[in-house]
Amino acid sequence: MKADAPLLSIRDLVVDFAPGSGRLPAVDGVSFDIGARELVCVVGESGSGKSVSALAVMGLLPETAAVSGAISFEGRDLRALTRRQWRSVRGQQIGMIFQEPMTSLNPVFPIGRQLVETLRAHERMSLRASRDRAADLLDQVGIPSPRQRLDDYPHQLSGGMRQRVMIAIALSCSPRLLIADEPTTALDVTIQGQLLDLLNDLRETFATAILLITHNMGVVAEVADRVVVMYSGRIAEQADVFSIFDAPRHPYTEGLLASTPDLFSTERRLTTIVGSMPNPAAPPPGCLFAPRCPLALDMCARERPELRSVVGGQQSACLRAEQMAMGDKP
Amino acid sequence: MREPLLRVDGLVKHFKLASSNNLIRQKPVVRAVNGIAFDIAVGETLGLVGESGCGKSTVGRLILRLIEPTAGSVRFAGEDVLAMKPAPLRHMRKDMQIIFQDPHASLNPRLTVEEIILEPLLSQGARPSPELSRHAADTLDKVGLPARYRHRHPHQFSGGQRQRIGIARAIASNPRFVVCDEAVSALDVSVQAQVVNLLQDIKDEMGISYLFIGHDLAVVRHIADRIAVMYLGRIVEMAGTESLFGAPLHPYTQALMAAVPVHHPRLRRERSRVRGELPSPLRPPPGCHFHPRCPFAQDKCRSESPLLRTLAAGHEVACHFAEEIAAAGRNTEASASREATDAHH
Repeated sequence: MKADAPLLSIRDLVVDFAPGSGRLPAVDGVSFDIGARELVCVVGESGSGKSVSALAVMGLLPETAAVSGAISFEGRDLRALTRRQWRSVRGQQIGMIFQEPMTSLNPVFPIGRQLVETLRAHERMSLRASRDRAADLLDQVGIPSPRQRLDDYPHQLSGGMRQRVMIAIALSCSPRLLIADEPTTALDVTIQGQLLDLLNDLRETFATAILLITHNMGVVAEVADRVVVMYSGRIAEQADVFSIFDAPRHPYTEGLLASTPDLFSTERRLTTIVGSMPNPAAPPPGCLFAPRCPLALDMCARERPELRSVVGGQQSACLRAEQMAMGDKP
Repeated sequence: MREPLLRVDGLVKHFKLASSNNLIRQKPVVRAVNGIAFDIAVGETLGLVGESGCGKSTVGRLILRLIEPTAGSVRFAGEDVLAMKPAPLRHMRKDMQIIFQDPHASLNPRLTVEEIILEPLLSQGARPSPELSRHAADTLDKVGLPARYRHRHPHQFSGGQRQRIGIARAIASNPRFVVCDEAVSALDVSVQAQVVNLLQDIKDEMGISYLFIGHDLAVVRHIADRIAVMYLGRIVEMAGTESLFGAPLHPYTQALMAAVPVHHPRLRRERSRVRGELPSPLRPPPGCHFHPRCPFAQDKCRSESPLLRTLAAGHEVACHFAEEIAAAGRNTEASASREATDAHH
């Protein structure tokens, strides 16, 4: 890892939509970094706080949310930005794509116009030059006959093509960081494969770091450099992708890996994690995963473990992280 | 051989669309399902896979006559489902049930769990009684929910729990056949695994046959005995699960498998991705529908539509060049799967 400061640094992020209610905050003390050109996957199930963390980075949380902690991007404190300052950061320095490309494109304008609008909002460009650039971008994201497509409306495109357009818009100003929230979840598996390849290629061409939010460990295995595993608003584990898959140090990570169906397995039964996510209004007293955890001891129900370094760069929020490596892993 | 529980033959569904142009008399037609045939034996699970828009959900609905087919036949336990009058059809539905994808949209929010579970029985003429209440409690128990939940409403449950309620409703009438239409697709992985196992347990216990419709090959592999792969309204390959995964013969099946994300970062490799997207079913390509995306396509594929034919015992494929492709692919496939097994251990 390089010695210079990370591109994005999140410290002790807390997002609480109902402060004072006693409910568990949606995001509770999350800290992680993303280096330049790095692809970090934040993985977790619904309600883990992964999308809320991303919205916090983009400054897109509703004003009613109580936010604390520090988010710095290239050394700049994002939480101190004014609305005006945000406009030059969003789109230009940080791009974002969402899960549902139909609802994030404007249905009443052709896609070319939406690309041109983004380009001209951030750079002084003639209309002609910006249309040329828009066609280039569509070409780069793998849209056939890009010039003709500029005049298409979103409804004329398939889901996969719309997501490509979203990626083109997000990358139009060559941002240093691209945040992608479940970009392939709504798409078929063949299209998902194409888009993951595309994101990986674009990372090289545009020299951009990517924060990819997903619930799919397969997607993580395909593209991540580093992985942040979230559970109930907290980080359960973070490490490089090989450590996560070879020697997970949190039972939740291990459970997620085991319950992901494997194309090569002939087992009829799937391994499961018993129970379900804790109710945020009535969280268990100690470790939030303890009620579902096969390794839980009495002490796990008493204290909520903090994230700590276990080995190398691997961090875990499990009291028994050290013992896990001695288990039945090959 | 015994007659299968379900026999589908020549099933066709064409949807007429409203024409966007009044000058054109002929309305555009979507050939959603275009000549599908398969059997399901007692206690067997047939997986039906394909990408969105391939017609797989329409097949499930046609079998239950939730929509009326354009042509074809559906025989269930020897009876002609498509010829049935409304009263016997309703009676038959006791034996044929469905579990839907979205557990938020498929449960009536105004009903209690007990009312939801018993509705299929009440619509069959059963009268509310203490025995029926006990049956609802027992059914909840079967799907792993406490009986005391039966007076609650759907909004009080998580997605996984709602899907369990959907399953309880489907099995309450003691059916012989259940269509699982993307029944686990909307669930988180840890819950998805629980529900897949639950469906297996119920099948083993009650001897139910499933038509398991899904798009995730890895999930379908774990539950199906046989798998049919659909592309643009047709079955392109059908085989026993092990045979299909061991030696996929159709280029589309191969492409689908190659697109499934790897299970470990060490397995990352440059893969030949299938090109392009599913064409519009309004204007399917001539000949083999898959030819514009197929790496092996030749002239014959552009003009002649391949029929489903048996290549090995119980392994059918609709591809002109299946033999050649299988022979050419054997070497690369073998090394890839060896690699996968190595990384696993």
